[in-house]
Amino acid sequence: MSNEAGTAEQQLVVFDLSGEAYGISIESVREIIRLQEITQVPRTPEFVEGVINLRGKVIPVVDLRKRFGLQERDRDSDNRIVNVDIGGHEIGMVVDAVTEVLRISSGSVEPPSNVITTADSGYLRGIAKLDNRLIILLDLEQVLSTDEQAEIGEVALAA
Amino acid sequence: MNLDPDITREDLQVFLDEADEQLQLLDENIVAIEGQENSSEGIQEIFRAAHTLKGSSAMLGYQEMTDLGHAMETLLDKVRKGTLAPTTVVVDALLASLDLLRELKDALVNEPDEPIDVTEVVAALNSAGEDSADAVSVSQPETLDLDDSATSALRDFLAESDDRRAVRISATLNEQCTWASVRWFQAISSLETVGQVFGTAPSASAIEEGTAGHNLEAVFGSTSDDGSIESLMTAVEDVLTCDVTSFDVAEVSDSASEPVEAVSGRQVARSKQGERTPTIRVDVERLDTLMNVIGEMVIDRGQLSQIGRELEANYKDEPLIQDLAKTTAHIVKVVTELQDRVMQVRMLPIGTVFGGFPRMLRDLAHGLEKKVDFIVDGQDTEIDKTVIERVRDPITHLLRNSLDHGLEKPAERIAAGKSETGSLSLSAYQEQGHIVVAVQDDGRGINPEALRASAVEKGLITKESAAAMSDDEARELIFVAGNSTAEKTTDVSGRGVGMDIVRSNIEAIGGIVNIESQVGVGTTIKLRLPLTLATVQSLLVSSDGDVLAVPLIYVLETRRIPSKEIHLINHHEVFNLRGQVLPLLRLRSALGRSPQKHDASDSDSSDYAVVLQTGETRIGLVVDAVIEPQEIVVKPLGSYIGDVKGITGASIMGDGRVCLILDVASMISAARQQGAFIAANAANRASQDEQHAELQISESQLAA
Repeated sequence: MSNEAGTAEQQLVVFDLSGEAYGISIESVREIIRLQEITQVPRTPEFVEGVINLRGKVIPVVDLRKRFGLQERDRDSDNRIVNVDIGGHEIGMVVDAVTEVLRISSGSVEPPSNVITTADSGYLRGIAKLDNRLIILLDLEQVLSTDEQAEIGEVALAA
Repeated sequence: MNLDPDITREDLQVFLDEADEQLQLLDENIVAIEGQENSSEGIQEIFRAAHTLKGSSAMLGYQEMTDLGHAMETLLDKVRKGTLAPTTVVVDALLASLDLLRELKDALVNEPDEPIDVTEVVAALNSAGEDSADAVSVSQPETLDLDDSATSALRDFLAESDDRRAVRISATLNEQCTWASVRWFQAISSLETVGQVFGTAPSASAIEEGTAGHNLEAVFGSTSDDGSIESLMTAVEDVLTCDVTSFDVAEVSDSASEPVEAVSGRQVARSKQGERTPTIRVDVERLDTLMNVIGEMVIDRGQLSQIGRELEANYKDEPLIQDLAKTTAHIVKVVTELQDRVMQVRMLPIGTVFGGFPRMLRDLAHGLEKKVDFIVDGQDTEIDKTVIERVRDPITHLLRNSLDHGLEKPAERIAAGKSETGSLSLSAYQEQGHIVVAVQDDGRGINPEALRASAVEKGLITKESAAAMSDDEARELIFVAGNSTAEKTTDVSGRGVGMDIVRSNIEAIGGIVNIESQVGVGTTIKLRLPLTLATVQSLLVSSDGDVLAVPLIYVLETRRIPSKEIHLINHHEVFNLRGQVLPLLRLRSALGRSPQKHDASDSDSSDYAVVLQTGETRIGLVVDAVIEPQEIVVKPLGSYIGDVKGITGASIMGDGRVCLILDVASMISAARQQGAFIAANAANRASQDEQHAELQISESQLAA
C-alpha cells in the first residue's frame, strides 16, 4: 500500500464522517452493511460500540465518530457499518454514510505532515487532492490499533 | 537406529499412531495385573499389545523395539500360560519396559544423540521370567491345514472348471530379510493375480501384523502349472526357495490344532478387524469444522422457529403458512438430531484420561510409603473430546493431592482406627445433563481452622474476615493462590499452587469445583463438567433491555423478590431466602453500569433473582426479567475486544441479536472481594445464635 509508486492507481471506499470525506483502501473492505442492532459489551473502551451478528459471526463494531472525538449525533438511514479486515480480524466501523468508490492516482496523495500536524495525525496516511476537494486517507491499522485500545481500556478500567 | 530405508513418512505416522494406542493399552493394564493370578483378560490385552508393537516395529526395521517387544512377549506368555505369577518383580520389569518403549517411540521423532540401550531392560525381563520352568516362546504353526469354510470354498472353486487345480506352496525367505511379512504379502498378492489363495500359515492376520517368520505355506488354486507358480513366487524379492506340490482336498483334516483363517480375494489386508466394528480415523479439525457449521444451523433453527411462530400467529388460516409450519417443525427436529449425532461423534469415554492414573498413583504411593486402594468407576461415561483434554491435568492434580495430603501413612491410619490401606476412588457419572467427576479419599480431611490460620498468616485475608467465614467457606480458601496447609512442601504437591489452578481450569470450561470434607473422615472433590464446549445450556435473562445468558450449571432456582423485602446489611443488599441470608448482586452493577436510582417509595415493584451457586457460595443475581432456558452456541468475542471481566463469550439468539454469556464464577469472586458475603455470613450466624437463644429461653421457660 505504498504511495511512492508514482502513477500507480488505487481504489478507495469513500465515506462521510461529520461532513468530511474519508477514504480507505478498497482491499481492506469486506463489505458495507446497513446499521443493525448492536449489543453493547461492558468494560470496553467508549468507542467500541459493541458486537453484531454478521451471518453467524460475532463481529466487534467501532464508532468512528467517537474514535475521532467528534460530536455524536442521531443515527439515520444513511448510516452504514463498513466491515474491514485488519490483520485477519474483522471489525465493523460505524460511519455517517458511504458515498462512493473512487479511483485515484498515487501521485495525487500528499503525506499528512504537510497538511495537518495534530496529535491524531497518526491515523492519517495522507490527503488525496482531487479537482475541488480533499479526501482524508486513513491508516486503518492505526485507527483500530489494539495497542492503543489496550491503553484506553486501562484508562477506562482505572477510572 | 537403522530403519528400513523404504519407510515413508506416512508409514512412520501410521506406526506412531498405532504405537500410541498400544502403549495406552499397556499403561492401562500392567498395573492392574499385579498380584492378580486370574486376570487373564488383562494379561491377554498386554500380551496382544506387546505382540503388535513387536510386529509393527519389525516391519519398520526398528530392532531395539522389536527386541524389547519380544522379551516382553516371552515373559507375558509365561504369565498367560500360568507358569509364572504376576509378582511385583514381573510388573516392575514390565513397567520399565513400558517406559523404555515410550522412549524408543519418542526417539523416532526426536532423534536423540545417544542410541537407546535396551539390553538392561531385556535382561530384567528375562530374569523376571526365569523362576518359571521352561520358557515357551510363541511359534508359528509350521504346517497348514484348511478350516471347514476354506475347504468348501476350495471345493467350489475346483468344481467350476476341470482346468483348475489346487497346490500346496512351501517357500522360504533369505535369512537377511527383515521384511518377511511384507514379502509374503507381496507373494500372496502376486499369486492372486492368477488364482485364489485359500489359506496360509502363518495366517493372514499374522502377516498383516508383521509377525510372520521366514517360512510360508499356502494353499493355492489356479489353472497355472507348478513351474509358473514357482517362478511367480521366486520373482518376489528375498524369496529363496519355493516348492510346489499338488494339494489333495481330501487330505484336509478336521482336527486342525490352530485353524487357518480363510483368505479370499483382496481381504488379506484386513481380516484381523473382522470382529470389531469398522472404524476410520478422522482429523479432529474436520470434526470441529463440522461442529461449527452445525452451530450455524442451530442458530438458524432458533430463528426459523421464531419466524414460524410469528407467521402462524398472524396468518392462522393461510394453508401455505400451515405447510410452512409443518416443514419448519420438521427441519427443527432434523437439525436437533444432526446436532446430537455430531456431538456423539466427538464424545470419548472419559476412561481414556483415567488410563495413566493407576500407574502414577502406584509409583507415588511407593515414594510416599503409603498404601492405597485405587478404585476407578464410570470409565465409560462419555464426554466431549475438548472437555477431556482439559480435565486431565486438574484430575491428575486432585489425585496427587489426595494421596499426598489426604491419605495418612499406615501407622497413622491404624492409630486413627482406620484400615491400614487407604481408599482413593475416581468416579465419573452423568447427572442432569452434566458430567460429574468425583475424587474421594478416606484420609484426614481438610481442616478449615488450618486454612483460616494459614490464609491469615500469609496475609491473604484479615483475621476478622477469617473469623466471619463459615467452615464451608473456609474450605474454599484452599482455592486461593498461595494458600497451602501442607506442613512440608514435597515435589508432589503442597506449594499452594494447584488448587487455584484446578479451579480456574475447570471454571474456564464452564465447570464447577465442589468440596465436601470432614476432618478425620475424608474428602470428596467433585468436578461438575459440561458435556460439550460447543453449546451451553443457559437461562436467558434481561437487564436494561439487554438479553444475557446465564449458564444453567450454576442456576439453583429463580424467584421474584419484592423490592420491600430487600434489606441492607453493611451497604450490601440481601434477601431472606427460606431463613438463609442470600447476598444479592445486581446484574447492572456486575456489568459495571451505573446503578439505577433505587426508588425506595416504589415499594410495590419487584425484581427477579436468579439464585446461583459455585462451590459453597450462593448469590442472588438481580435481573429485570427471566426469559427462558435455551441451548446456545458459544462464540468468542474475538481478540479485538479481548477478555472482558464478567463475560465469557457471546451467542446469537433466535431473533438474530447477539447476547452475551455471563461469567458467573468471576462475577461471584468479584462480589466476594467486595465483601458481599461477609455481611451475609455474619447475619446468618447471628440469626442462628438468635434461634439458639430463643430455644434456650423457651427451654428455661419450660423448666421454670
